[in-house]
Amino acid sequence: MPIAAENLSYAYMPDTPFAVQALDNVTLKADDGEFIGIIGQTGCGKSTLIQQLAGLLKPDSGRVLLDGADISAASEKRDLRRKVGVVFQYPEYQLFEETVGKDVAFGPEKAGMTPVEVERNVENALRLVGFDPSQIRDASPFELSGGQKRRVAIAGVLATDPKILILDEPIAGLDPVSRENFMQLIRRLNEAGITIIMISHNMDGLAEHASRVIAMEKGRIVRDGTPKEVFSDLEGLEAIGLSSSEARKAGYALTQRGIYVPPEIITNDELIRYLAKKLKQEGAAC
Amino acid sequence: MLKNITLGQYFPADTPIHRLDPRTKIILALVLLITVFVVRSFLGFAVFAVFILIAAGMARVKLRVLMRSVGPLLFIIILTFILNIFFSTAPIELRRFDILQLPADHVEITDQTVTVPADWYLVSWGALKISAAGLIRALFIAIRLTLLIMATSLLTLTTSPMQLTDGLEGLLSPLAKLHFPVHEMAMMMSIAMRFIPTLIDETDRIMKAQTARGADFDSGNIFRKAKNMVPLLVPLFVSAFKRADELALAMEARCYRGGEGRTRLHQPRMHAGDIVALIITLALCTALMIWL
Repeated sequence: MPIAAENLSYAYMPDTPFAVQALDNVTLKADDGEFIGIIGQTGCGKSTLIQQLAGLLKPDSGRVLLDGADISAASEKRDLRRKVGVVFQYPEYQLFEETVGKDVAFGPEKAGMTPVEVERNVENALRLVGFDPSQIRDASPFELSGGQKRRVAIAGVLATDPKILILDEPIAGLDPVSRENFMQLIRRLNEAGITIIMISHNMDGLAEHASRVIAMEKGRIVRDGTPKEVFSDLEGLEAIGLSSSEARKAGYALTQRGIYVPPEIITNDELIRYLAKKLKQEGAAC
Repeated sequence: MLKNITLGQYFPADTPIHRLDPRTKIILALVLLITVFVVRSFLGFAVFAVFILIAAGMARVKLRVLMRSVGPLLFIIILTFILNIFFSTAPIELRRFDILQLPADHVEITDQTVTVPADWYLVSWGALKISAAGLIRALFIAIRLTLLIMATSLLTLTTSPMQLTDGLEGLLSPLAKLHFPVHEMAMMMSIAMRFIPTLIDETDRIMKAQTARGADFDSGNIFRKAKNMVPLLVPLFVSAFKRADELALAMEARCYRGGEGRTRLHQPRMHAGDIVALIITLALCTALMIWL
C-alpha cells in the first residue's frame, strides 16, 4: 500500500507577523516495505510532513494519496486510521485508561474489530514490544516506568494492525540499550512487511537499519537516497546543520589524517571490518 | 483541530502606544470604559470613535483587526439591539446639541436636554410597537458595546499578556497593605497565561495522537462527545499536574520566596509619553462626560 505526497505546502499562522512556511512544495512516495528515515534540524518541517501523511493536518495545497486515493476524502479517513499508525514524540502521554490492556485495546475497538480480534491484537502487540501480556495487561499504565509506558503506548498503535507506521523521534529520551532494542523492534516490524517512515536524530540507527534516508531543510527535501548515498556526504550534511553517522565521521577524520577510508563506509561494523582488513594487508606488506 | 490560535491577540510592534506603561494603558482603558457609558449623545460617540481610531492608527492596528475583535460579540450586540427596540419603553433623555435633531412637536426640550417621551411610536403593528425612545436606546447600547470592545481590544492588541499582569500588579499593589495577596495573584495569573499556549499545544498533540488511534472528537450528541473527551482529558490532566509539580520545584530551586523584597527585570516606568497620554485622554473624557 504505497503512500505518496504530492506538492504539499503548509504555513503556520498565515497572514500574521508569526507566519512560518513549514512545507514548501514537498513531493514524496513511500513504497511497500520501505524503511525511510527523515532527518533535519528542528523546525525544518519534518513533523509537519508526517502529520500530513497521517491525515492529521490539512495541507494548504497539494494532496496525500494512500494506495492512489486522496486521504482528505471523508470515506477514506476511517480506512486511513486503520492502515496508518502514528507514534508521536513521547507517546507515553497518550495513555489514559485504567489498565494497560484497555488502553492498548482502544485503537482496535475504534477500528471496529470484533472482541476476538481485539483480544488477539492486544496480546500480539504487547508481545511485540517485549511484554508478557498476562503479567502487564491489568497493571495501571501510570504505575509503569517511563520506558515501559512508551512501549505500552507503541503497542496501542501496533494493535490497530497498521500497514504503514509513522514515527516521530520515537527514541528521544531512551537509554542506549533501550534505543538499540527499539531500533531492532522497528526493523522486525519492517521485515514483517510494515512500511516505516521515521523521523530520527539517531544517524547511526538510520545508517544501519533504514533502506532510504531523506534530509529536509526549510520545508524542502534536500537529500533523498540510500543511507550510503546520503550519509557518505558528511560535508554536505554539515553544511545544512546536520551530521552523519559516527562511523562516517571517524572515517572522514582518518582520511584527513592520511588513512584512507572510503565514504561509503557508514556503519560501525563496516568500519571495523574495513580497518581490520586494511591492517592485515599492511601487516603482510611489511 | 485547534489551529493557529493567538491568545490575548497581542500584535507586537514598536509604536508610541505599544511603548506606554501597561499601568497607563489599563487606567486609560478604564477611563474610556466609564466614559462610553456616561456619554449620552451621538456626537459624543462620534468624537469617542475618532479618538479610538486615531489611537489605533498610532498603534498601527488595522481597522480590520480591530473590527474582528467585535465579531465574537456581534451576536450579543444584535440581540440587545433587538430586545431594546421592542421592549424598552421608558423615556430617554438626550443632550440638546447633537447630530440627531428631533422634531420639536414630539419631544420636550429644555436648555440642556431633549427628552424623548415613551409614547412616541414610530411603528405600530398591533402588539408589536417600536417607540422612538426604544430605537434610540437600542442604538445607544449597540454603539456603546461596539466602542467598548474596540477600546479594550486596543489595550490587549498593544499590550502583551505579561505586561498586562505586571501592570495590574502595579496598580493593585496598594491593596497589599490590607493583606490582599497581590503578588501571589499576579504570579498565578502570569503562570496561567504562560501555560495556556503550552496546554493548547499539548491538547493539540494528544488530540492528534488519539485521532490517529481512531478517536473521534467531533461527532455524536453531547453525552457521546463528553465521553469521547476522556482519552483527551485524562492525559492532559496527568501532564498538567506533572508540569505544575516540575514548575514548583524549578521555582524553589531558584529560591522563589514570594513577593517580599523581590525586584523586577523590567521595572515599569512612567515616561513623558505616559503623562501626555494620560492628560489628553483624561481631558477629552472629562469634556465628553460633562458636555456630551
